[in-house]
Amino acid sequence: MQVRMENLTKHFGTTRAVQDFTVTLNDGELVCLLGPSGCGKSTVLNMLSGIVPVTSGKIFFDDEDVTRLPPEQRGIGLVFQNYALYPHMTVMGNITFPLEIQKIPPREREERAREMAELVHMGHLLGRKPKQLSGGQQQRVAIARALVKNPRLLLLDEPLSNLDARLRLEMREEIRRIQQETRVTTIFVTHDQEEAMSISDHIVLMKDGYLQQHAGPQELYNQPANQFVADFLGNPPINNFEGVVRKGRFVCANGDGLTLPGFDKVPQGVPVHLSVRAESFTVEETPHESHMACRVDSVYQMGKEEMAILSFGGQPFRAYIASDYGLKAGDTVHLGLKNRGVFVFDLKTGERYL
Amino acid sequence: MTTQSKLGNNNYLLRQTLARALRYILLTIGMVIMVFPFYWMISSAFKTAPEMNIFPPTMAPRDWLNFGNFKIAFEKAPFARYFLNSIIVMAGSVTVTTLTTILAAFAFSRLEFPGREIIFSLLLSMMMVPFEMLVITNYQTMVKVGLNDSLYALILPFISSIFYTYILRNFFQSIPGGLYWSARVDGCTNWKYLWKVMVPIARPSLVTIILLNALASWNSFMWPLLIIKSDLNRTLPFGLYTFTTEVGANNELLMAASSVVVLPMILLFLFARKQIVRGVARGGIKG
Repeated sequence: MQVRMENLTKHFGTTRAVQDFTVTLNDGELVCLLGPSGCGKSTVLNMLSGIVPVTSGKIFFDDEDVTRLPPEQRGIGLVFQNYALYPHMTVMGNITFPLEIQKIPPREREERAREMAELVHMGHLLGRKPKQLSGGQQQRVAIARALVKNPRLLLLDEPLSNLDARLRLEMREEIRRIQQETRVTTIFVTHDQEEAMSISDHIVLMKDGYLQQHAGPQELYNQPANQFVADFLGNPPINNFEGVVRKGRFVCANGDGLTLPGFDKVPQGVPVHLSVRAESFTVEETPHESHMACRVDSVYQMGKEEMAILSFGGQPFRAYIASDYGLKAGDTVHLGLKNRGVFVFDLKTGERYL
Repeated sequence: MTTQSKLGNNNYLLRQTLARALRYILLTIGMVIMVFPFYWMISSAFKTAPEMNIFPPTMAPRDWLNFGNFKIAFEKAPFARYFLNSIIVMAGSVTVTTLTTILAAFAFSRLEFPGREIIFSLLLSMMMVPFEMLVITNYQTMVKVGLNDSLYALILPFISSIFYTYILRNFFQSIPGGLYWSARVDGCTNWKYLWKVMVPIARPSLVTIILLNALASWNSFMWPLLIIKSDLNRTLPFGLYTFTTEVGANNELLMAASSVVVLPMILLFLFARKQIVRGVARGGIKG
C-alpha cells in the first residue's frame, strides 16, 4: 500500500512537533524514519497509526483519506519499543488476541497464529509467557501479533533500542527478512543511522519537525540535500572546512586553499563549508593548486588503513589514509580530493552548492 | 598475623550470632504479645464456668473438645443469622465496591476528559473527612429513603471507595501505554481492554483490595450499631456487643461467640497471606 502524507503538521500546545511534512512512501517498501531524538519522527508514526490526531494536513493510504479514521479502522500493525506484550497471556494468547477481537473462530485464529509464529521463528515457544522470553523473542512475538491480522501497513517504533548490540544486529536482519517475505509496507522509526542505512529501501530524514531528505540510503550518503544530512550520516562524521570561494578557489581564513573544477559554479564570496568525507582523500606526491597542503597531527593504526588527524587552514580533520605511506605526526602531506563525498554548503543556511 | 585474624573472625561470628539471637528474642516477644490474646480467647471458649473463675487462671482448658459454650451461645442469640447477615453485607459491598473501583480507576488512569486531575484531587481530598463526620448525613439519608434498619443501609454507603480507587489507579497507570494502543489498534474497545487486559494484570492488586474491603466490612461496628434497630438485622460484631450485655458475667460464652466472629477473617488471612503480600509489594514497586 502506498502511504501519502500531505502538509502533515502537528502542534502540541506551542511546540511544533511536525511541520508541513509531505512525503509519499511506495508500496511494499521498508522505509525508515530517521532523525535525532525530538525531531518528530515518532509523532509522524503516531499520526499514521491514529494514536495522535493531526493538527492539519492529510494522510492517504492508497487513495483513501484516513486522516480522521480511528486507529482500529486503519488496518495497521503496531510494534512498540518495549514490545507491549500482554504479560498475563501466553505467546499464543498474545498473537491470537487481535483475531479474537475481530471475532474470528478459534480454530482459524490458532491456525493463523501458528503460521505467524513460524514466520518469526517462535513456533516452539507458543506456551511461554512474555516474562519467560528474551528481549529478541519478545520482539518477534510483538511482530507476529502485529502481522497476524494482515495489516496494510506495519509500523515499528524504535523496535531495536531495547536490545543489546548483538541481538540488535540479528533482529534488524530478521525484520528485513520478515518484511521481504510478507512484502507488507513497513515504516520503521530509529535514531540510529547505521540501522537505517543497513535495512531500508528508503530513508526519510527529519530534523526539528521538518523533512530534510527522502532518498535511498546510498543516495542519502552520496548526495546529501543539505549540511544537516551530510553531518548526520557517516561515521566518522564528515569534515567541514570553513572558508570562502573566490574566483573558483576555496580559501580558508589563514589563506590556505585549493581549486576544484566545480568551485566556479558556487556563489563567490559567500561563507561556506567545504565538506569532505574521511574516505574521500587521496595522498599526492606533489603540491598542486587542487591539492591541500596539510600538517599531520597524529596517526592511528586501523589495520589496512590509518586514521590520520590532520589540519588544513588551521582546522583539524580526520582522513582514512592507506598504511603504505607511513605518515608520522609532524609531516606535511598533500591531499587530493576524490569525486565522491565532496560537497560545498552555505555556512548559514546549510544549502548545498556543490 | 594468623591468630589475630582468627580472633577477629571469631569476634565477628560471635557478634553475628548474638545479633541474630537478639533479633529472634525480640520477634518472639512480639509474637507472644500479638498471639496471646487470641489464644486466651480460644482457650477460654473451651473452659467451663467454674474453670473460668479459678485463681490463678489455668493456661489451657481441661477439655479441648468441650463445645458446650458454643452451643449455649448459639442458643442464647441468633448467631447463625448474624453470620448470614455479615456475609450478605460483606458480599454485597465488596462486589459493588470492586466494580465501581475498577471502573473509576480506569477512567482516572486511561480515559482523557477535561478536569480529570482536578476531579481526582477533589476526591482524594475527601479522604481527609473521617467517616464519623459522615455518620449523621448518612443516617438522615437512609431514614429519608426509608432504608434504615435494613441490610441495604449497611451496604449502600459503602459501594465505592476513594482509597481503593487510588490504589488501583496507581497500578493501572504503571501499565505501559503501549499495551493500550496495541489493543486499540487491533480494534479492542475500552471496555474490552479493561476486562481482558487491565483487570487480569491487576489481579494481585484487586485481591488486596477485595481482602482489605472484606475485612473492613466484616469488622464494621459503629454504623450497624446506629442504623440497625431490629434484632434479626444485626451483623456479627454488633450482635456480639449486645450479647455481652445479655450474658452478663458468663465470659466463657462471650469468648466462644468472639471466636466464631474472628475465625473467618483469621482463616481468610492465613490462606490469602501470599496474595496480600504480593499485591502490596506489586502495588508499591512498579511492576
